[in-house]
Amino acid sequence: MCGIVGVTCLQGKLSSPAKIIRKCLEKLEYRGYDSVGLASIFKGMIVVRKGKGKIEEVHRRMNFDGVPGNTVIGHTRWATHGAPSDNNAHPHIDCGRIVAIVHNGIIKNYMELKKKLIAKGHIFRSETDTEVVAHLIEEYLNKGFKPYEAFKKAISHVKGSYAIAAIIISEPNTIFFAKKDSPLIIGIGDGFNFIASDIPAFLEHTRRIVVVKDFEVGYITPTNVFIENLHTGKIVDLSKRLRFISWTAEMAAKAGYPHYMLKEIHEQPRALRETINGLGEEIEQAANMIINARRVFITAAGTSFHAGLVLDYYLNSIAGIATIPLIASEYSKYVRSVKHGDLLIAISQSGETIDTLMAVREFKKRGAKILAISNVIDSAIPRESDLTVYTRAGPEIGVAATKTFTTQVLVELATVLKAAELNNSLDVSEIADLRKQLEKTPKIVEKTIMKHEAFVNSIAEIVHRKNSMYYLGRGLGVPIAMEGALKLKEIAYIHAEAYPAGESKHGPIALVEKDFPVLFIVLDDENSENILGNVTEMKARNALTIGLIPEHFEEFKEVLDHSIKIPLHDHLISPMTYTPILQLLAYYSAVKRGYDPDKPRNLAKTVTVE
Amino acid sequence: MFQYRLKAVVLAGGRGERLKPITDCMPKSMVRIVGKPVIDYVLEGLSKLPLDEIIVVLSHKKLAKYVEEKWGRTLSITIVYQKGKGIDAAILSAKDLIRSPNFVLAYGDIVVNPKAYIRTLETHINSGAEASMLLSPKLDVESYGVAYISENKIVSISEKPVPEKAESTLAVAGIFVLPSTFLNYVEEHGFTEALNMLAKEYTVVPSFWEDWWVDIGYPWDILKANEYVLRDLRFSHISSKATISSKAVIEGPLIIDDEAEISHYAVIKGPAYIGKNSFIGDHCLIREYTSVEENVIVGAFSEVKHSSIQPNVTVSSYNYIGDTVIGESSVLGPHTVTLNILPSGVKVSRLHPVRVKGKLLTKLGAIIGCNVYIGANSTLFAGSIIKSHEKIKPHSIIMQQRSTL
Repeated sequence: MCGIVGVTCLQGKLSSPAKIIRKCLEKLEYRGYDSVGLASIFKGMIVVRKGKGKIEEVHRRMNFDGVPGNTVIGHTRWATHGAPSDNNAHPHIDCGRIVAIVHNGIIKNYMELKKKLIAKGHIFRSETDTEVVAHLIEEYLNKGFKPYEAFKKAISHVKGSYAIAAIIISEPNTIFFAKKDSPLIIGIGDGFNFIASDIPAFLEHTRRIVVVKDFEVGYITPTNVFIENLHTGKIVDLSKRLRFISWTAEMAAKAGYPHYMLKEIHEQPRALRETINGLGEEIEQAANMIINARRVFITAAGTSFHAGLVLDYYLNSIAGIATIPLIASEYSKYVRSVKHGDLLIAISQSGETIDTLMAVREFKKRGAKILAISNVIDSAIPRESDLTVYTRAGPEIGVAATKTFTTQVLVELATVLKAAELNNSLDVSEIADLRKQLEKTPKIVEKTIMKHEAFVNSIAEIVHRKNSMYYLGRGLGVPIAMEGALKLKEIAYIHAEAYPAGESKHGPIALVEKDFPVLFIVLDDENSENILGNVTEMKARNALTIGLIPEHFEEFKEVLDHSIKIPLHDHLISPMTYTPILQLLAYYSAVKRGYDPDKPRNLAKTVTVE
Repeated sequence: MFQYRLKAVVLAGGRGERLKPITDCMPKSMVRIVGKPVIDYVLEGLSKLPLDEIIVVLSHKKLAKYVEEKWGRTLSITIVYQKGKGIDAAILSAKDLIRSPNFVLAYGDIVVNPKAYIRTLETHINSGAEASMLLSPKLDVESYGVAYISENKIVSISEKPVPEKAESTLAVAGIFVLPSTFLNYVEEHGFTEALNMLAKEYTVVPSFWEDWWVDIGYPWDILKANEYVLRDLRFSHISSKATISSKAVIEGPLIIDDEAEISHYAVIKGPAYIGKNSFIGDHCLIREYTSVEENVIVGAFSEVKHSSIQPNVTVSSYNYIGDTVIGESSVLGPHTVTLNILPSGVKVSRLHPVRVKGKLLTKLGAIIGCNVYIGANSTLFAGSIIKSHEKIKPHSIIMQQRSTL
C-alpha cells in the first residue's frame, strides 16, 4: 500500500502548493511511511525531491515546502518492489526528465516491460515496478504522441493494480491519472483541483469530490476535470459523479471499520494469501541456514516472541531441531555461549525493535548468523541480518499486533516444512499434505471469523466485566494462549495470564474461585485427553470455562460453559486459525469497556528504547 | 455546475406481526423506547446525513401525522403509503420518487446510535463502491439476513439461515446506500435476491457496527433497546417541570421528563426513564432499565423492573412488574403479579439467558396488549401473552403462551 496525491492550481490560488502536498502526505502516512517524495513542474523543468524515511525526517533534509511550481504530485511509500531507499522513493522520472510519476499498487508485468525498455536504450534508476511507466510515457512522447495520448498508451500496457498520477513538462498545468484496483479520488476546487488516494488528504481544501473507478483514465487542470473509460473511451458525466462531503471523513483509512484493529483482524485472510504468494527462494535459503546451524536461537519481543515460540514448536516437532527461544531483552544471559556456527532467528514486525536489534548485534559480534523475519522491507534488523524472510501483511496501524502475528506464523511453517524436507525428518506425503493445508489457511481463517464474530462478541459481554482471566493450553496451544492473554492485557486492560494447562495445578489454580474465567485452547492433537481433564478440574472449582475446540470434540461441549467450534484442520495451522478469535475477544472486550483498542495506554507500536 | 443529490427511503410500513399484541393499536414505528417512538431514532440518524429528501413509506395515518408534525419543519419529508405487503412492496412504493443515482435505505424499526448512519454513508463515499451496507454481529442469525465478506467485499447474503448452517454471523443491519438500479432487481427478484445480484454485479462494501444495535422485531426487543439506550446515559436529566417529593429517593443516571410526578417515599434506581406527565405513587420501587412512557400511572407500593410501560397505562397499587411489556392504554388492577423466569429448556429467539448467582436463567415476564384490563389479584406466568382488548377477571391465573415462545 502507498499513498499518492497531486494538486494543480492557477497562479496564486493556493499559497505554496508544495507545502499543501506535504500536509496531504502526512494524512496519507497510514498507507505507508518508509519513504516519501514530491515532484513539480517549474519553468519547463521537473523538480524532484525524495528520500528514504518518514515524512518529517525527509522534509527536514529536503525542505519540501520550498519546491516551486503550481502543479505538484507526491507519494508516501510502503515498499513492495525494491527496498526503501532514496532511489526507490517516488516520484520516478524518465531518462529525459520530461515525465514524473507516482504510483500505488503493483505492476505485475513490469519485468517484461523493463526488459523491452532497456533493450530500447532506456536507463533505469530504481528497482521499482513503477519506473517502467515513466519510461513508457517517454517512449510514446518521443514517437510524437501528444502527452495525454502517450499517457493512455503507456497505461494500456500495464497489468496489475494501480492508481497513477503523472506530470509531463509539455503540459505544465495538468496531472494525468489512471486507476485500477487501488483507490483514487478527485477533489474539485475553485481554480484548483486535487487527486489523492483518499478523501481526508485534501478535505481541508475542498469538499467536492469525484471517485474514479477501475479502468478509468483522465486528467485534471486547475479549471477542468476529464475522465473516460480506458477501453471504451466513454466519457464520464461528472455531474452524475460529483459528491459533496459535508462532514469530516476521518474514516477513510479504516475502510468502514470503527477501528484499525478490527480492520486488520478482518484483513488476515488477505494478508495470509499475499504472504503465501510472496514466498520465494529465501524460504529454501532460510531452511538451509537452520539445518546447517550448530544451535538455533530464536529471539523476539511481545507478540513476535509468541510467534517465536510457535517456531520453536515447529522446529522441534516437525523438523526435529532443538531450539533455544529467548526474550530479546534477556539476550545478555546467552551471549557468552554464542559461537561461530550458531544461528539466531530474530522476529520483529517493524524490524526496528531495539531489544531484538541489540540481541542481533551481540550475537553477530560473536560469530552467529542472523535470520530475520520482518514485515518492513530493509528495516534495521533485516539490514543487519544475513537473510530476511518477509511477511506481506502490509502496514499495521493498530498498536496491538494482529495480522503480523498470523503472517509470521505462516512464513515460519513454510520455512520449517522446507527444512523438514531437506533433512528428511518428515514424510514427503505428510509435507505435501501440510503444504496443501497451508494453502487453504486463508480461507479457513476467513470462514472462522465470519462464523464466530457474533459469538465472540457475546463472550466479550461476559469477559469485559471480569478483572482477571486465565488462558490455558498444551503443546502448540501454549503460545496461542499466551498471545490471547497478551491481547486482552494490551487493549482491554484485563489482567490475563497464560500457562501450560498442566502447570495450572502447580499454583495458578489456587486463585480460581466461582465464575473465574478460564479459556482453554484445545487443539486436535495428542493432548486433547489431558486438557479435557484440566477443563473438568476447573469446572469442579466452579470456574467459568470457555473453550476454543475443534468442531467435532463433542465431549468438551458438555464441560465447557461456552465453546467456540473451529473447523477441522491439521493442528499445526492452529496459531493462524485460533488466534483471530482471541484477537476478536480482546477487541470486543476493550470496546465494551470503553477503551480505544487502536491506542492502548502506555504502549507504542514500535519499541525503540531498551 | 454540479449538484450531488441523495435521497433516503425509510421503510416504516407493515403491521408488525411479530410484535403483536403490542402493535394492535399502534404501528411498530410508534412503539416508545425511552420517551421516543422508534421512528425518531431512525430519522434522527438520517438527519445527520446530507440528504435533500426523506421518503417515509408507511401504512398508518397516525404515524404519518406524527412524522409530519415532529420532523416536517426540520427535514424535507415525503410521505408515501405502502402499496401491498412485504419489504419488496414497501421499497417499490417509493420507486417513482427516487430519482437520484444512489439512495439511502433505512429500516423503520432500528434503534441504534446516529453514528451508524454516518458511518454507512462515509464508508460508501470513501470506498467509491456502488453500494454499501451496515453489518452488526448477531447471535440469532435465524431471525436476520447475514452477509458473508471476502476481501472486504460482501459476496453473498442469506436470509434467516439455520444457525448450524449459517456461514456468517454478521447481520444486515438495516442501513444501506444503494444504486437506483437496485429497484429494478427488487421488482424482478425480490429484496434478498436483489442484494445478492448487487453483490455479484457490483462492488458492495461492508460498514461495520461494533456497538449495540436493536431491530424491534419481537416484544422483548423493546426491553433490550430500553436497556441499551438507558445504559448509555452518562448523567441524569431531571426536568425543571417535574415534581419530585423531597422524601423520594432518586439514584441516577435517569431521565425524569416534563410534568412527571414522583410521590413520597418512592425509590427510583436508575438507569430508568419516567415519561411526560407520568405519576409514580407513594412507596413505589422503579428499578433498573425501566421505561415508563408518557401519561402512565404507577400506583402506590408497586415494583417495576426491566420493563416497558407504553403510554396511557395504569398500573394500580401493589403490582410486581418484571421483564414485561405493557401495551398502550391498558389497566392492571391492584396486586397484579408477573412471574418472570421462563422454565428451563424454553428457547426464545433473540432472548438470551442471563447468569444469576451461577444459574442460567431466561427472564421474560408478560407481554400485555393494548386496552387490556386485568382484574385485581391476578398472576401472569412467565411468557404470558395477553391479547389486546381482553378483560381478565380478578383472581385469574394466566398461563397462555404464544406458540413461537
